[in-house]
This record gives sequence, structure tokens and C-alpha cells, in this order.
Amino acid sequence: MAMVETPLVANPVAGTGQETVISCERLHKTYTTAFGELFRLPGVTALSDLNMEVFRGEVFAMIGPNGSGKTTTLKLLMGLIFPTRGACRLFGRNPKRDVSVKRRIGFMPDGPYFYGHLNGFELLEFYANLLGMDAARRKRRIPELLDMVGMTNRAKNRLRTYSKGMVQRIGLAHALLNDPEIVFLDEPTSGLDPIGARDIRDVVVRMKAEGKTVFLCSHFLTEIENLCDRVILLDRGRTLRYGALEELLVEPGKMRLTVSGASDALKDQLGKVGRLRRSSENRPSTDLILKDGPDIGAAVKLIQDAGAHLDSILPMRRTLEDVFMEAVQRTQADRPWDAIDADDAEDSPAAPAETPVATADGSEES
Amino acid sequence: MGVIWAIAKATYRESIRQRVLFVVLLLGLLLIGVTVAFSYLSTGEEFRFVVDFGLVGITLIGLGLAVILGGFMIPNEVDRRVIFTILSKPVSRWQYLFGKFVGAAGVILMLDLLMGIAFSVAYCVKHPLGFGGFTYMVPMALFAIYLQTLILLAVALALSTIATPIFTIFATGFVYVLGAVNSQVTYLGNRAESTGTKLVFLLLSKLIPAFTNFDLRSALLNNQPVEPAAMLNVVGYTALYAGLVLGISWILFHEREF
Ligand SMILES: Nc1ncnc2c1ncn2[C@@H]1O[C@H](COP(=O)(O)OP(=O)(O)O)[C@@H](O)[C@H]1O
Ligand SMILES: [Mg+2]
Repeated sequence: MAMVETPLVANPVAGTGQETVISCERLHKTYTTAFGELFRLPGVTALSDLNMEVFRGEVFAMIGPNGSGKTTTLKLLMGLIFPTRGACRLFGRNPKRDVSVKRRIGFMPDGPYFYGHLNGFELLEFYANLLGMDAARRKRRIPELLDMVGMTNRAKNRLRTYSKGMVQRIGLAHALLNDPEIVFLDEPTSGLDPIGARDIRDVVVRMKAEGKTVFLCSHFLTEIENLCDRVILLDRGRTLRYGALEELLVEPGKMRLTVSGASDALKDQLGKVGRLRRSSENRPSTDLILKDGPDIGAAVKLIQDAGAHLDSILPMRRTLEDVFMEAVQRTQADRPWDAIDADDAEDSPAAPAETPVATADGSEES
Repeated sequence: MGVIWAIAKATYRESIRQRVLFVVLLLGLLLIGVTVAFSYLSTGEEFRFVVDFGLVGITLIGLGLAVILGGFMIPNEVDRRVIFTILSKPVSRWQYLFGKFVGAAGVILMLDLLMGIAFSVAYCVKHPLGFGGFTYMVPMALFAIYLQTLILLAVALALSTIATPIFTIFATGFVYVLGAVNSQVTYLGNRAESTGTKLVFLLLSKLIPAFTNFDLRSALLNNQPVEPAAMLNVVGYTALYAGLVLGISWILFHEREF
């Protein structure tokens, strides 16, 4: 059933009047060299037909294994590289043509590197000048940010004396200098200690509270799971999943009943209705996973009749890691996309999708 | 303007700390010192030697500075990915390129000033009239060398946006040599018999910089004053040539991916 695997869960916020601040339309990037272009070598396709919208005020996460095209997307949005096809926009503007939109954003690259001969304060001053901040605003903002990232007492030391984590902290401060409307963070917690990672979390939470937009690229899934509103999952340039986190985590059509005090006899009976498993390591309850529908009534009745306690009935949820692993597994074995596509075509010629999937413009097709 | 200035300032501060520049400066000062130390020649010859050797030395050191700064500044920032954080700010590629140029021009100015002072002292020491022999022509000659170095800096910076530093070094050196013999190229063009050859030589002489007018050694030695118009001509030529080269490099840099 190949089509079930295809991306794009219906976008819950489309058409609700939210302001789109980032958009990608059929965004495609193939890296070629001058040499490769001359001899028409195929190049490396890092991103294929990315369709995505990010709305003001949300925390949006782009996840995917190494080399899936996350950094490429960010570089395209920053105007550091240019699309092979398609378009990307920040606030509706092309970042290549209109550098002034960058006044409204902040960007922390993966493993940032800065001038080693400047100290922390001077470095922030340099970037504040690039952002066109006046002296009064700089004087106020820089100490504020140094304090926020916990670098006040290292501000007078040269950057070349900083550890990787300290550079990362200064990098975060530099991305927030202009109090940006959108902040892009590429692998923000790599190289940070747990405290640093929590600080990043705090920043994300605070920005969201202030109505700012956060675009996170990361493979720390547990971290993202508690932070983000919507997710896009890429694998080798292709979109495997896209949508609200809640919808990605809910397993469609499946419910989970949590029962405590179930006797073995009850468990036997329940095992015929659905699938049983232990709730978690340290809880004595049992989970029953079953299809939504009349089975639920039957199960509830069995539980009540047996005198056990029904703790909860909830839609079945997976962790983001489950979603990630499941989506990526199929394509993991380093096989080229062409081969996977060929297999899919063989398996199920033009099979209709089981669940409704949305196309990029939000319209549904089945 | 603020952005260009900020980039220029950071470039200046970073470059001035490089040990290699310190070594180049020492080399230049040593060269000038050595010219003074020669004392077995006759007085007139000694003076001539100081001027010739000193000014050519400063020119060559300038070439070295232009290729070191122009050839490596941008490739270094690309390699170390500093450029990501700069170009993701509201900084156009033109501002970045020009800021780098201005910063490097500042570094060269600083080192040329130091070498210029050393040269002026050497000049006066060997001049028959001593310090009384100092004329405004000395700073003029030094200024013309500085302008020539700026042209070479622009060429190196332009090449560095598309080529490796090694290529930039050799190509800029080549441009310097051709520029120094530009008048001969023009001469050959005018003398050529076939129209084709003539065209090639004359075109080449227009493409490569004309450094002949930048060399004020003989004027200085023969105590010929340089007309203000001629000096203005040199300044205008520098602005035009360096401006065009930077303009072309901007077109290339504009499409460059990082
Ligand atoms: N400058 C480049 N030239 C050629 N290939 C590149 C370049 N940058 C990235 N790639 C390739 O593009 C793919 C996506 O890379 P990237 O966007 O950095 O992935 P991620 O950030 O998700 O780990 C990878 O296969 C990578 O090797
Ligand atoms: Mg990456």
C-alpha cells in the first residue's frame, strides 16, 4: 500500500486565515559543480518538490535523518543558495532579490563559526551593525542577550577561547539580536550540555509566547515532540510527512483503553477484541489497543462486568520517534529513490490512498 | 553605508592581526634598510639606488599584500562558513564585497604608510641636500604606488570570488607584469602590420591595467614636478579600473552559492 506512505497529512490550519510567513512551492535543489554542469552530470538532488507553509506564531519543526535536505532548505530560505526549480518566500518576498526581509529574521546555522579575534560583546556589536541597529538599541540589547544566554562573564574574552557550546550560545544570541519575527535554528542543541539544551527550549517557548515564529531543524525528536505545533519529515529530499504534530502522532482509527486491576481471565477475553500490552514499565495497568467502533463498547462492557477499572479511553498515539522510524525505515537501506518508486509501482499499480491526503494547496484528494 | 563600514572594520581588524602581514611588513622595512646600508657607490648613485630599489620594493610588497588579502579573504570566510551568518543578515552581496575591499585597502594603507615613512627617511639620508631635499613628489610617488596596489587588490578580490587562492595569486601576478609593460604592448600594437595583430594587441593593452603612469621614479630622480592633472588622471583611472573590476566580480559573486 504505497500511497498510505505518501506524505501530506491534511493541514489543519489552512484556510483559517492564518498569516503565512514562510512558503515553499515545488522547491527543488540539485547541487552541481561547474565541472558537472559542463559535462551534464546529474548532480546531487538534495531537495525535491518541497511544498510547505509556515504560519505566524507557530513552532514548526523540520526533521529527517542526516542528509535529508534540512540545511539545504534553510540555505535556500536565507538566499545563500538558489532553487533549481520552484520558489521559496519569506513574508511573501524572494530572499535572493530582497535582502531587506532578512531584517525581520534570525538564523543560527548548524555549528556556527564566528570571527575568533572578536570578543563576545564585539561580535554581537558587529552583527548589530549589519542589522542596522542604532547605538542606543545596541547598548540595551547586547547585554540583555548576553545575560539571556549566560555569557555575560565571558563577554570580554575572544571567541577563539570559547568552547563549542559557548560559541553555540553566542550564536543563539546573535540570531535574536534584532528581536526577529521568525527565528531559524539549525540543530540548535548540537554541542550543548543539558543546561544549554534546556535554555534553547526556554527560548523557543518564550518566542512562541511572544507570538514569534520558530523554525527548528533537529533530529532530537523527544525534544521537538514537546515543543512544536507542526512538523515536516524529510528523507533524502522528499517529504514523507507534513502536518500538525497531533495528527501525526494519532494513529488513525485506533483507540487505546487503559485498564487497571484486570484479572488474567479478563485479559484473555480482551485479547480476543484487540491487542494487549503493558501500559508502561512502571505502571500496573494494561493497555488494550483496538479499532475505533463497536469493539470499544464490547470491551468496555467486558471490563465493567469483570469489575476491573477503566482508566481511560484515548486515541492511540505514537511517539514522534515511532513516526520517524516507520516513515524512514522503508527508504533507509540507501536505495535510490528511483528503485523505491519502481517497487511501489509494481506493488500497487495506482492504488488509491486509504486515508485522505492533502495536496500542497490544502485541497483534499482521495 | 553602515553595513559596508562594519564589514570593512571587521576585515581590517582581523587582517591586521595576521602574522604573515607582519612578516611582509618586516621584509619591506628590511629592504629599505638594506638600500641605505649600501655605501660603496658614489653619492649620486647611492641616492638613485635608494629610490629605485625602495619604490620597486614597496610596489612588490604591495602586490604581495594585494594577493594575500584579496586572494584569501573571501575563500577563508566561505571555508569557515562565517559568510553564512553575514549573508543571512540584511547585507547585499555587493555590500559584502565592497566592505571587504575597503577593509583590505585600509590594511594596505596602514602598511604602505609605515613603509612610506621608512622610505622617506632613507630618501633624505641619501639625498645630497639631506632633509632639505624632501619634496611633495615623495608622497606623490608613494601614493601612486598605493593606487596601483588597489587595482591589484580589486583584481585579486574579483578572481577570488570564482577561483582558488593559488590561481588568484598567479593570475594577479600575471596582470601586474602585463600592466607594468602595458606601454610596450601598446607600442607593439601600433607597430604591427596586420590589422588583426594590431587589434589584439591594442585590445589587450586596454584590458590590462596601464601601470606606466603610476611609476614616478624617474620624475622623482630627475626632479620633474608632476602636473596635478596627471595625478588626477591616475586617481580617475584607478577609480574607473578598480570600479569596473569590482563590478564584474559582483556580477559573478551575485550568483555564487555557499
Ligand atoms: N554544497 C553541496 N554540494 C553537493 N552536495 C551537497 C552540498 N550540500 C549538501 N549536499 C548534499 O545534499 C544532501 C542534503 O544535505 P543537507 O541539506 O545538508 O542535509 P541535512 O541538513 O538534512 O543533514 C546531502 O546528500 C548532502 O551530501
Ligand atoms: Mg543539516
